[in-house]
Amino acid sequence: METKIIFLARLFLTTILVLLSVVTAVFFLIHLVPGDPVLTILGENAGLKEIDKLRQELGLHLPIYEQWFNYVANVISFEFGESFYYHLPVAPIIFERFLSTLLLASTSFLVAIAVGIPLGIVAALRYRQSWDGFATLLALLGVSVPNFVLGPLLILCFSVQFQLLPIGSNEGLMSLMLPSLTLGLSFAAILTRMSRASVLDVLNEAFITTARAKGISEFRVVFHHMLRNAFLPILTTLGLQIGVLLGGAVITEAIFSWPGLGSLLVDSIDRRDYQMLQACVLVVSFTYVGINALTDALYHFLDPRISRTL
Amino acid sequence: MNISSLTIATFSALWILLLIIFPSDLERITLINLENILEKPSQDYALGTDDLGRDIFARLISGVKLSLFVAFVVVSFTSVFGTMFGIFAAWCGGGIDLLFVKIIDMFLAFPGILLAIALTGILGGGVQNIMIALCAVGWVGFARLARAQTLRVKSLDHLMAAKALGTSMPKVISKHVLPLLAGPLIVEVTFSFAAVILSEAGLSFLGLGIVEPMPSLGGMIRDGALYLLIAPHYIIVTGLALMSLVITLNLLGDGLRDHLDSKSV
Repeated sequence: METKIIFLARLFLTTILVLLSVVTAVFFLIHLVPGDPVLTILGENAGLKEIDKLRQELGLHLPIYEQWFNYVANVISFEFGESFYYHLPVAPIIFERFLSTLLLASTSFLVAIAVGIPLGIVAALRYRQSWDGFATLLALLGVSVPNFVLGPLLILCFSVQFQLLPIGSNEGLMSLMLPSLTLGLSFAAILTRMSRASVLDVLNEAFITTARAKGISEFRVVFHHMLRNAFLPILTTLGLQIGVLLGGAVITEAIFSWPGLGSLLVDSIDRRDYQMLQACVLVVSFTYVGINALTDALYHFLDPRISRTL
Repeated sequence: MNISSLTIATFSALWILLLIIFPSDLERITLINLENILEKPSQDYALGTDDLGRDIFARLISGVKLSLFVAFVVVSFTSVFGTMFGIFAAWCGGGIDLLFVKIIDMFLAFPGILLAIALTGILGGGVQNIMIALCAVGWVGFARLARAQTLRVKSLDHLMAAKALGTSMPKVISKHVLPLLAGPLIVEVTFSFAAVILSEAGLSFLGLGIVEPMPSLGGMIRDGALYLLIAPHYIIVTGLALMSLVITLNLLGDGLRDHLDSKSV
């Protein structure tokens, strides 16, 4: 038990450190914006007095380390400032969009798991047979066809040719189908490769041979002995690969004009709404770091070997 | 010869041939002809015309050339810089290694293409900025790989011997460490090439990358998606072109990895 507490404390600290470095990176990123932010807000014809006043308000007259400190303090208290475009506080808008993205990411994740893991397992069990070739080919296509090609092709197929699914984003559950398929299938390809490799790794272990020699049914060998052991490596890489899903969400949302964080981020770039842009980047990255910390924790609790040796 | 090497050979030969035979004809690429927009493939236009009546085939060829150029520059920089960064971290160890790992972790905390999107969003589009953004993001993979591999080989006997004999650090690294890392690094270069082509296309698709009238695969796919209903051939041919490029590179990477068996290094 004690080792687990130590592990969790350490995980917590490193996560905080990573989050802090993310905030710092975004802070410097925003300083890369060409031109004076005060002039961008007020326009070129602003008077000197006004400029000075806004500069004071935004805290831009302070030395850079104080600006950084204020920035971190603001992020911690979810004070993302006001959007230049909407003239509203950023935080509530972001939150609403975040839920949309979360919905899309979760359904895509389910698609990916439902397609990718079984395909990978079957491919490994039928190693070098036609099923394996089929799965490997699909996985290769999946990692090579980017979602901005797959998305329009799916629209062409399902919405235009067969008119089965809507394209727009305001028709309830049905409109979730195409975006989730687009985002989920490319992630499924990664999962197929991962689970195929993990199952292949345990396939020739001595305990599998032992299980078979004992005369256990093949079903039990596969599900109790093989998959339980192959599952853990899948889990570790899963957390890291979620980044592909979250990054891919930005483009997928842009294709289907899905009202999530990704399309908000791209729109904010067009509108030069840097306040919104940085908040989007921060929230997506925080989610990613959080998911990774969770998978780490989960892994350590699921694998009895680790908690014993720690 | 198995299927994958056959595919690699066919696709690479096809692309190399196409890229050599057809020069980038600036006039044909940018010539706007509003009288025949979104035409189907014909004798005059092998792959039809786009929404401004420009020759899709000519734009595709020079778009691919530009993509390959961007990928070449980016991967050259990221592979060299990332590898040096990783080797240096692992070689020094201790506090420096810790600091370098934290820097790597910071970059890895931004999922996928997000940091590149933010960077190009802030710096603005264009070939130069897209290369800066992709370089800023791409080196991390090489750094992580080089660091992990250097940690593995660092305590090998002949390296210890070289160090004990007083060989200078640059010499040990170039003569003894780099050759041991070459296999996995070559595999990473291939995959990274494919990844950079995809990222560049993704950024251009979002309108953040290469700007009109310069042709880019991503930009053409975006336009093709706009005219999906009227001229489906536009997105199909541009999509297939990008796909075949990336499949070839990915197959090449897979083949190299199996051949060099980078796991056993």
